[in-house]
Amino acid sequence: MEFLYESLLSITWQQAVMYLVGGALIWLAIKKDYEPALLLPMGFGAILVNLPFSGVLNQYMEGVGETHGIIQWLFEVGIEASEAFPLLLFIGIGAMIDFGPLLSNPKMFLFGAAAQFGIFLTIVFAALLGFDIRDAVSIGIIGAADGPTSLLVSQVLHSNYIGPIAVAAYSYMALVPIIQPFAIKAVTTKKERAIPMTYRPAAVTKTTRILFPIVVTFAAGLVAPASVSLVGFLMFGNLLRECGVLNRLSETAQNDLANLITLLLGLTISFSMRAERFVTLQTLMIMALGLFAFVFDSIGGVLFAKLLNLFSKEKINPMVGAAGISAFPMSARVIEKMGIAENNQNHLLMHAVGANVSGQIASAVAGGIVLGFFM
Amino acid sequence: MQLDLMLTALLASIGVIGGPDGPTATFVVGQDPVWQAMTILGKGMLGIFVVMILIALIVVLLTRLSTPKK
Repeated sequence: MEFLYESLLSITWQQAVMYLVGGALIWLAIKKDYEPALLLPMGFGAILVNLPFSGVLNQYMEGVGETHGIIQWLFEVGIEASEAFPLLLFIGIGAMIDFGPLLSNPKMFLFGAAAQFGIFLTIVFAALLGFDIRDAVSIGIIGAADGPTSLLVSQVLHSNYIGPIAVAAYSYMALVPIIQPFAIKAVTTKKERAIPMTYRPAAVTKTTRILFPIVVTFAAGLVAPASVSLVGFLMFGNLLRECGVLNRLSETAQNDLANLITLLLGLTISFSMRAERFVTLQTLMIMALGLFAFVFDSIGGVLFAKLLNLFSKEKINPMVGAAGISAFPMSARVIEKMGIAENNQNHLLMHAVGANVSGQIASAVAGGIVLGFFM
Repeated sequence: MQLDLMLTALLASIGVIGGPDGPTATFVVGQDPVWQAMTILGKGMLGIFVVMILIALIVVLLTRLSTPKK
């Protein structure tokens, strides 16, 4: 009769903690609607991989040898071997994004760059806290506010903390409406937040829209070659959207491909949420550093906008700078909402969308740049 | 504990100045993760601004070239 309770008795307290973490992720997904497409599979996967002798992981059977588990196989093939899942997801994301608001106001490119400041500052703090430089870089990239980039960088650098990094990246992305107002208000006055901005978009020709993804791939690829896979796949998706002759493929990338990869990605990441790797003091430190990265991304964008205001006649609402993070479209919506709260005639949405899509490119470029330091 | 490690590493790096051997001191400090992180901060921000400004300039150029003259 021992076989009936053998598994139950072998549950460790760390595994019990992981059941709670899994339950909390599922609760956040269902009850709070925080990135449900990722947090729900991750939460359920966290339970699956932490059941004793779980069949979703490779196990050793007497007389049989090693048996293969599906989640471990998905991780080894889809993430470890080639980073295929995060990269394929980038095709879908590229196909979803309309770069029009950015192309009609190229000044917004600068905010995408400035709002990556939190990534680099966090790398320094993580190194100060004693993390190995590869782990510090992987932790800093949580500030890209871009799950696939965080996963790819931490996997390429063989970080020991892929699980906590993925959880931090995706959960903070969902918490942008809470984190950003706090960060923005800390460094702006009420008067600055009420600065009006009129929207006068320049016309964007179809030629520009088609050439844009190709040009970005060249520019990013030549300056930061390690970013080619990230930026290239993002831009390939966008070219499918803009070329006008591949509508079926574009729709497949936006819907079927993105949904399928998202579904598998969440379950696959849970492989890195095994109790022995996840329930550590470092996980708490990574969660804190991830929050720090998000806050300083927003602050970096806002301060850069204030700096530009010193030299320009037409003032920029500094909150728009904070939209330069990659969390699209949550960040742009937050800025619009905050702008209206200060001045109900001041619609900042289109400016913020421009900065926000710039952040999509900048975060992928940032991922490539940090990888370039180890090539 | 972490602070201890950090201070030890810092002191070890400073001590090498007493070498007195410039290349050795530079080599030892260059291996320090905090120094490496500071380098990534400086070069990384520079790199990202260069890429984004380059793309912005090309977009301005493309828009001008592809917009029909009135």
